[in-house]
Amino acid sequence: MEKYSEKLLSHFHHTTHQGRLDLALPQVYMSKTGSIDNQDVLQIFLQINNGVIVQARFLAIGSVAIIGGAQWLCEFIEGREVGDAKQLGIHEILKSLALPSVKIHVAQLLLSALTQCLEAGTHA
Amino acid sequence: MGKKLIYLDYMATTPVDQRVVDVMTTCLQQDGPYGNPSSAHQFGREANERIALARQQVADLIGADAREIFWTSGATESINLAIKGVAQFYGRQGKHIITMQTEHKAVLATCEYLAAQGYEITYLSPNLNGLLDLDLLAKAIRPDTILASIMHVNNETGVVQNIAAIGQLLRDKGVLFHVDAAQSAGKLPIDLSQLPVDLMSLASHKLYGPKGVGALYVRQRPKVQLVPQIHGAKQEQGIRAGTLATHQIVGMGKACELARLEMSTESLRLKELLERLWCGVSELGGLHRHGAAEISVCNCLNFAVDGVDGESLVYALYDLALSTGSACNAATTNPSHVLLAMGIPHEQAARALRLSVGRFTTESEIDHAILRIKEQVQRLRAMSPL
Repeated sequence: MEKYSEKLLSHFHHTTHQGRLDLALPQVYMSKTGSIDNQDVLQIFLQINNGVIVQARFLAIGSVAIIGGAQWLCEFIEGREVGDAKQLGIHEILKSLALPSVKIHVAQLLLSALTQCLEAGTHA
Repeated sequence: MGKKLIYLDYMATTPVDQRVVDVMTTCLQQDGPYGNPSSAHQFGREANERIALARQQVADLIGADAREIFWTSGATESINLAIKGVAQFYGRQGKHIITMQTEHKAVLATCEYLAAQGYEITYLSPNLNGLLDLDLLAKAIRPDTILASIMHVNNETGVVQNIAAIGQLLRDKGVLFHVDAAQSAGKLPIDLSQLPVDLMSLASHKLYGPKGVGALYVRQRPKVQLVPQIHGAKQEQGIRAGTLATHQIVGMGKACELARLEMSTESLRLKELLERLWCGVSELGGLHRHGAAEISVCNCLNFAVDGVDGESLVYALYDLALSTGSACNAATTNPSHVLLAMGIPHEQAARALRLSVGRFTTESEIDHAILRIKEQVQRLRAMSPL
């Protein structure tokens, strides 16, 4: 069992942003990363209006790190401009979540999911 | 949600029974038996008398003679002494040892050590239900086989091996038989006056005694010989050196006495609690039990829940003390070697949970645990993208 930071555990226990957004709606984008073979699967939904992320939701199965991390990510980016969100880097994720060293790949998954979703929004 | 933590990890360890604490405490007082048990004076004799009583209490639990009980620091040391001690003493007769893939790491690591010393180890697979196939064992025995080490109750699944049948087969073939009984002593009746077992390892902390003390049963008729693994003075008939820890030993003795006296009623109560728990959580659907109830010990439940990661569920159930039965490393989760050996798929084994009840578990705790497990499984399933 990994030892997680209190902050990460708090996000894991209080998943206020869990759920999906209706992809039939305009300006709603989705990305999916990870695989069940590697324990963690993450799906992110963003609603982007006029360059601002107005809603962020996630679905996840896997470790405490991916669920707590996805909750943190959604909270972090909601209300931000797409340009700001694109500035988020792996080091900031690692620092914010205080992930144990063996869970660094989770930060990469979070960043990949965000990047892919924002790309989908940019090219829509 | 109640704030009280509910302990459901009795297979990992047990709290020390207050009645055990009471007798231990008397040994730690200035007017208690603090003398070195090897000393000839009154202080030493008092300590030695208390130790003799404890030795008898342990022997009574397993149907042995007190002279066949040797004190150690715990089951891991007992296992090391039994396997390495036999291997080294009988090494000229043969260097082949049989064990199972589902054994505790104390056995597996000891066998790996001996393999590096030139011994040959056969690791038998269990059936899908976790039991050892006697035909497989019979086929594995060779002229140079000196020892087989098979655990009585598996520490992860609770599956109970038929040590009477296994022992008889080994006895007929002239192979010594060591049983790791850390998880069965005090839970199942054991009568070594009838069972064909040559060595048996016991742990105090699994039966409401203190940590740091255990025992090894070594059959005296016919006498099993061991090479000591700890060298020093001639305590324990020269088999295990070191000043005896009177308070620890007295605690283990009392714990064994209580377990013997309460086993029949307690095992029924625990079985009912465990089945209440299983019936309750089964309502969720998508659960896979590892180790059927009819072949498992009364207090252990191992299962996987579809659609939920084992680690996440354990953290979500922060007010329940339970175990995943798996060791995490790096980027992936390594499922239990026991479950994999039983043929359980990797992905299912990685989601396994182990819950175990014990002397202080109550019905209301079980009902609360059922509610919490159902609530959190439903929560985690609801957020799954699969």
